[in-house]
Amino acid sequence: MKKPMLFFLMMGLLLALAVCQTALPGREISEMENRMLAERPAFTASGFLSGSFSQQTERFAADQLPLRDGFVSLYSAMQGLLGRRSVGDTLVGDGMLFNRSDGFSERNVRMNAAALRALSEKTGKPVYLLAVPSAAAVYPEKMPAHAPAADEAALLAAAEEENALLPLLPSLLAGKERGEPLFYATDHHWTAFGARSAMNASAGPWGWMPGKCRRCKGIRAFTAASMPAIPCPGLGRMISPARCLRACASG
Amino acid sequence: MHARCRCLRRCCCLTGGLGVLIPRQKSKGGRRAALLFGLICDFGALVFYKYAGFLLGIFGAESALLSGLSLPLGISFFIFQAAGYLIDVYRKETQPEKSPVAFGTFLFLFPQLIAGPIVRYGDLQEALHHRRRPDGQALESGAALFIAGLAAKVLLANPLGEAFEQLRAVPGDMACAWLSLCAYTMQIYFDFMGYSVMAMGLGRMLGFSFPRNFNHPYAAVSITDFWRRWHMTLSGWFRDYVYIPLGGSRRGRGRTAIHLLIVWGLTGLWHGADWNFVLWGLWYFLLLSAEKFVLSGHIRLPLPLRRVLTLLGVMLGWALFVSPGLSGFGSYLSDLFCFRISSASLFWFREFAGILLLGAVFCIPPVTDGLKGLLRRRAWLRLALLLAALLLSLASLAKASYNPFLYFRF
Repeated sequence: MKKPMLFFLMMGLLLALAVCQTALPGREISEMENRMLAERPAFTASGFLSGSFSQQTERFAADQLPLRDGFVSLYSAMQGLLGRRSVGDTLVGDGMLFNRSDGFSERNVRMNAAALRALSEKTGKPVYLLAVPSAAAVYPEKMPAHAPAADEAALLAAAEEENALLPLLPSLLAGKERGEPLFYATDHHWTAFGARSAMNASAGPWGWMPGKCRRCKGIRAFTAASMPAIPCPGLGRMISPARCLRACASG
Repeated sequence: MHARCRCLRRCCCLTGGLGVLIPRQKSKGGRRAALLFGLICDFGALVFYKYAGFLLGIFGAESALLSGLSLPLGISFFIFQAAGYLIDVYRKETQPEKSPVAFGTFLFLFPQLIAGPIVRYGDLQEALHHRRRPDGQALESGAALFIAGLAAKVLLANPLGEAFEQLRAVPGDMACAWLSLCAYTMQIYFDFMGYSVMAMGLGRMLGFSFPRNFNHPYAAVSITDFWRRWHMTLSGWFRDYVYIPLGGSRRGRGRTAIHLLIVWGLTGLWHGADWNFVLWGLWYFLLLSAEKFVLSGHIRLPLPLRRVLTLLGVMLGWALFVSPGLSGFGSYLSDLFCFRISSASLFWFREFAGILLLGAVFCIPPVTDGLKGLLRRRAWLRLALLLAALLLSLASLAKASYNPFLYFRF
C-alpha cells in the first residue's frame, strides 16, 4: 500500500506549528504590520461558556502563528497577484498608502461642526475647528485610479458654514508645492513638515507669533510670546502657558 | 450545562429511545403515535430556538423568555438528521440503533454537525458498528478533500465575501450591484461547498463516508436541475420525507402545486427565521411551478441560454436571500436596475476582477473535472498543489481578518 504522503505532511505541518506556538515565546508587536499582537488568553469558565475565550484563542492562534511574517508576505503577494489595490480600509497608491476617506459624510461633518458652534455659544469662548485633510486630498494624483475618495474640499466648505474653520488644506498644498513630504508613505500620520503646515494655519487665529528656529535657521518655528493665558492648576490663576509650565515644574 | 447543549442532548436521548420503542409497538397506531411524539419534540425544540422570536414578532408579541436566547449552532442539521432517523425506523427502512454511543456519534459527529451534509443513519450504520481503521488510501484522499475544501472556503469564498461587502457598499451603481451579486453567488457556493468537502475529508480520515452535497450547481440547465445539484442532502430530505409522502406529483396539478408550495415554504424557513428566507423559498416555488406547468414541453431553448436564464433566476434568488429584510431587498433590486454607473465601479471592477474571474473558472465543470483528472494522474503535482493550497490557506487565516460564518442562522 502506498504511504499517505499528503496526510503525513499535512499533519506534520499542523503539529509542528502547534508545538512551536506552544513552546516559543510570543511576540508583543508585529513591526511588519505596525500593530500589537494578541496575547495568550487566560482560561475562565465564564469566558469559555460565553465564547469569548474561543474568540481570543482564535485571535491568539492567528497572531502568534510561527513564521507569521512569512505567511503575511505570502498573503500580500497573493493579493498583489490578484490585482488588489486595497487592504481593508487602506488603498495602495503610487509609492504611498492611503486611508479610505469616503466614509465621511457631509451630514456628519455638519453635525460635528454644529456641535462645536453650540459649545462656543454656550461657553462664550471662541472655538476653532482644525479639520485635518487626509493624504488623499493632498496627493490625489498618487491615489489608485478611480479610487473611492470623499470630496474633502466640499466637506471642509460645509464645516466652514457652521463653524470658524482654520484653513489647513491651502497650507498643506503650499507645502506640497515646495516639495515637502507632508505625510508618511506607510501610514496616515503627517510628518514634521505636515505638522508645521498645520501650525502655520492655526497659529494666526490663536495669536501665536512665528519665530526663527535657532538650530535649523531656515525652518520657521513658534514662540509662546503672545500665547493667550490659561488657567494654571499650580497657581490657580490665569497666566501664560510658559509661566504655568515653569511654576508647575518647580512644584 | 448550557441550555443549548441540554436541549440537543435531550433531543438525542429522546430520539434514540423512541427509535428503539417504535418497532416494539404492536399496533400501527402505537408506532405512529410514538413517531408523532418524537417529531413534535424534535421540531418543537427547533421551533422554540429558531422560530419562536419570528413567530411572536408576526403577532407583535415579545417574550422575556426569549430574550438572550441564542440558536444552538447547527440545530437545523441536527434535528433533520434526528427526524429522518425516526421516520426511517418507522418505515422499517433502517434498523433501530440500540447503542447510545453509536447513536450519539451519528447525531453529534463533529465534521458535519454545523454545516452539513445532512447524513442519514443508514449511510453511517455500517461504519458506526464495524469501523475499520482507515487505510492509507482513505487518509490520503481524506487529507486531499480537507485541503481542497479549506482552500475553497479560505482562498475563494472569503475574498469573494469581502468583494461582495465592498461592492454592495457602493450605493446607486448598477455595475457594482451586479458585480456584488456575482461575488455573493460564488461566495455562498464556495463557502458551503468548502465546508461540505472539508466534512467529507475529515469523515474519510476518521473512517466515515459522507454523501456529496454539491455537483456543479451553476452549470444547471433548469431550476429543477439546480436543486438536484445544490445542497443535495437537504433537497433529498425534503423530497423523501415531505414531498413524496404528501403525494408528490401524482395527484393532479392543483395538489402538486400545493405540495410544492409547502416544500419550498419550508425550505425557505429552514434557511432562516425571517421573511426574506420565506420569500426566497416562494421564489423557487414560483420558478419551479413555471417550469413544471408552463414551460415544460412547450418552449425549447438552446442549452447555453437555458443555463444563463437558470443562473439569472438563482442569482436574483440570492439577492433576496442575502438582503436584510424586505426593504433591504427593495434597495438591492433598485440598485440592480438603476441604470447608473459611477467611475468608482472602474476601481472596484479592477480591484475584484482577479478573484471574480478565479471563482468563475472554478464554477465551470470541465475545468474542475479536468483538474481533478490531472491531479489523479500526476501524484507529485497533486502533492505540490495541495501543499501550496494548504500554505496559502494558512497565510490567509493568519493575515486576513475577514472570515464570516454564514450558517449561524441555519
